[in-house]
Amino acid sequence: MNAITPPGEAKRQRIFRERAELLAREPEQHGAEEELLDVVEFLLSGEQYAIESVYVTAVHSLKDLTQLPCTPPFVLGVMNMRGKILSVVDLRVFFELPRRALSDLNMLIVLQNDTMTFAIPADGIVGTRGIPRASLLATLPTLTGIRGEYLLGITPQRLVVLDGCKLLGDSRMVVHEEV
Amino acid sequence: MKWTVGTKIGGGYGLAIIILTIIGVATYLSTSSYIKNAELVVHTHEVLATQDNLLSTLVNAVSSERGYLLTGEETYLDTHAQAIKTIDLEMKHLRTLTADNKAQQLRLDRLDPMIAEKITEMQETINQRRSRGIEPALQMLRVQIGKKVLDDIFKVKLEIENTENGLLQQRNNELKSSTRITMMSIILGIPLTIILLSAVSFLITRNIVQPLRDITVSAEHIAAGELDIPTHSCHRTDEIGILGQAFTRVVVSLSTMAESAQQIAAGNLSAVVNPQSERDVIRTSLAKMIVSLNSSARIARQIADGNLTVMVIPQSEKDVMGNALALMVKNLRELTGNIIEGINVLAVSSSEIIASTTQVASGASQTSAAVGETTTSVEEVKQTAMVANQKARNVSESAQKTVKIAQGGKNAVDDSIAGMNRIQGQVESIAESIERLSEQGQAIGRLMETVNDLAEQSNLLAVNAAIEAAKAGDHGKGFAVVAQEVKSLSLQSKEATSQVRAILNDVRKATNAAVLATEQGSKAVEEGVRQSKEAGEAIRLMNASIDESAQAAIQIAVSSQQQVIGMDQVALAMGSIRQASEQNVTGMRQVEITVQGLLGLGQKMKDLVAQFKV
Repeated sequence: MNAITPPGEAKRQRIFRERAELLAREPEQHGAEEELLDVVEFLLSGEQYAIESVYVTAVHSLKDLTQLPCTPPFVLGVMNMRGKILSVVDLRVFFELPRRALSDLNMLIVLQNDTMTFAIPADGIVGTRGIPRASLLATLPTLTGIRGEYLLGITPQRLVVLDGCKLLGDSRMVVHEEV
Repeated sequence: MKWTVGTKIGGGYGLAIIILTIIGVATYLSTSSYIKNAELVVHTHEVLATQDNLLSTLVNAVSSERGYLLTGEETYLDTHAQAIKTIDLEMKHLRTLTADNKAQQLRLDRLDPMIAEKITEMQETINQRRSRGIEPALQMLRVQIGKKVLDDIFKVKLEIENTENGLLQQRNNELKSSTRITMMSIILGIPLTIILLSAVSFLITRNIVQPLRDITVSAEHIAAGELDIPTHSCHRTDEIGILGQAFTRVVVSLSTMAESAQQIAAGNLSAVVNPQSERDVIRTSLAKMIVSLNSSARIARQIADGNLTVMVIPQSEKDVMGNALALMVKNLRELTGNIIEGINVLAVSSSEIIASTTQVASGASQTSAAVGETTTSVEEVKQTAMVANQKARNVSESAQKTVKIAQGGKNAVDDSIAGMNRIQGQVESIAESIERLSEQGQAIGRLMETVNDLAEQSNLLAVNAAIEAAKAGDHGKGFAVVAQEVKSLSLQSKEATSQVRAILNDVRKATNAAVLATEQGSKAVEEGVRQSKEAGEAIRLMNASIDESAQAAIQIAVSSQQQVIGMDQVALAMGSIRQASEQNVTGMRQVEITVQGLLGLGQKMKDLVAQFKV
């Protein structure tokens, strides 16, 4: 019951101290010479991915998805975001990732370049961060096929960075089917 | 009215016969005159026919003569001769018919020569024709001698006819008058006769039947035994008068006999009854009855004198009086014997009674002493009963006090039941409050969901802001810091939300525990109420049994009171018994004296019975 009582004086002091320490910490020194790559980090099928912020216009919650008939399996459907119609592409299908039974898929990341606009769903948005470009490792040799094509690299923290330019420029994304 | 009944009836019948004879004779006379007149009418008609025939025959003769004159045929002469002969015969017939009428005879006498002259004239004419031819004969006819004679004949004939017609008229009138007389005698005679005979028969019937009816009524009265009837018809000398007088004599005779019978019934046996003849059955019987009653009276007197040796011989088995006397004598003899025996027994019994009375007197003295002792005992019992009564009263009072205490216990239990009920109500209201609390906790949970959602969205907004900041490059660095702060705020609020949720969970658990505790409390209260009720029931039963005890104690007190009263009455009764036994002793002495009297009485009765000769 003491949970609903206001925190005691000692606890308050502790919280204040923690905050003070956090503010007093030196920011990470990446080196001025180092080029930082701004990415948006997100979760998909239990793994952490990231994509360059340059190609991201917005993140949004996935609501009111309308399924489209006569489309390839990776097209989940279309949705209305602030008056714009976006196609939603399921990267799991695209990357041939195994489908986990329970997946939230309640977030949406809108990708855009000069020619193409679409959205990919995500289980959760972690946030934005800067990654030193030098720290990126080349793609793993195990990653072959389509997954290998769209990877920009992997950080030492096992964060998979996707190549937004390739994704947006892929001709397979342009669906033209007649039934 | 000096006529006998026979004369009256004969006179009536005679009158009827006379009237019938008169009507019969009148009818016969008128009928016979009618027949005579009818015969005369027929005779007159015959006379008229005969004279008509005569003249027509004459005309025949004249016409046959003319025939011969004109033709000279001899056959006409035959007819003429036949007619002449017929005229003769007719003339004779007419004379016999009118033999009773002289005027007609004279006229016939006048007619005879005329006819003869005519016949002669016709004969001459025929002779002239035969001898000298037709002319001289016609000459004779022209002279007209013959015609004149014929006219005369017709004149006479007319006279005769007129006379006969007058006669016919006269006789027809007579016939009519005689018919009218007959009709009148029948039409008037018969109703007159009926009226006359009816009046006569009514008078006779009234004169005879009414007195007979009166006498019949009197006879019925006598048959019913009533003799006070009026005498009647004494003023009449006929058979009915005689019958009435005989009836009066019967009534008188019966009245005298009834008087004698009444005297006998009143016990006067000196009444004298003289039979008028040997066949006077009633008076003879009355005389015999007097004799028989006298003999019975003699016997009764002897019995009254105490002579029971007298012999009574009944005249027959049906002699009720004789048999009764005989039986009376026999019974009196037996009775007297029995009385003598009874008197002897009485003497013996009196002696025995004296002995017994002496014994009873001594017994009564003993009883008196015993009764005195009993009275003392009764007084002691009465004292004991009074003590018992006092004790019973004390018990009754203490029982009343107990009843009051039990009532107080009952009231206390009732109060405790009421308190229990109040507690139950309060526990229920606590349960309701807790339930509301739980619902409000759930509402807070829902609110927290919303807050969480807001935090999520803030987070998203922060990410978007960071993206925008990244796009702005160096210019967006400050903005990136703000976005970072916003994000950390959203994370904090999310954390706070989860903390609130944890606390809410704790609250819910505590609430559930409270609900359970309340239910248990409610059950405990119910149990308390039940036990209080049982206690109340037990106290009520105890109260009832204490009530009964108190009632019983009161009854014991009352009945012991009655016992004391009853002992008082017993003491009184014992006093009365003592008095009575003392009176018994004196009474027994009086009985002794009375029995001595009885002995004397027995001796007296012995002397009295000795008077009867058995």
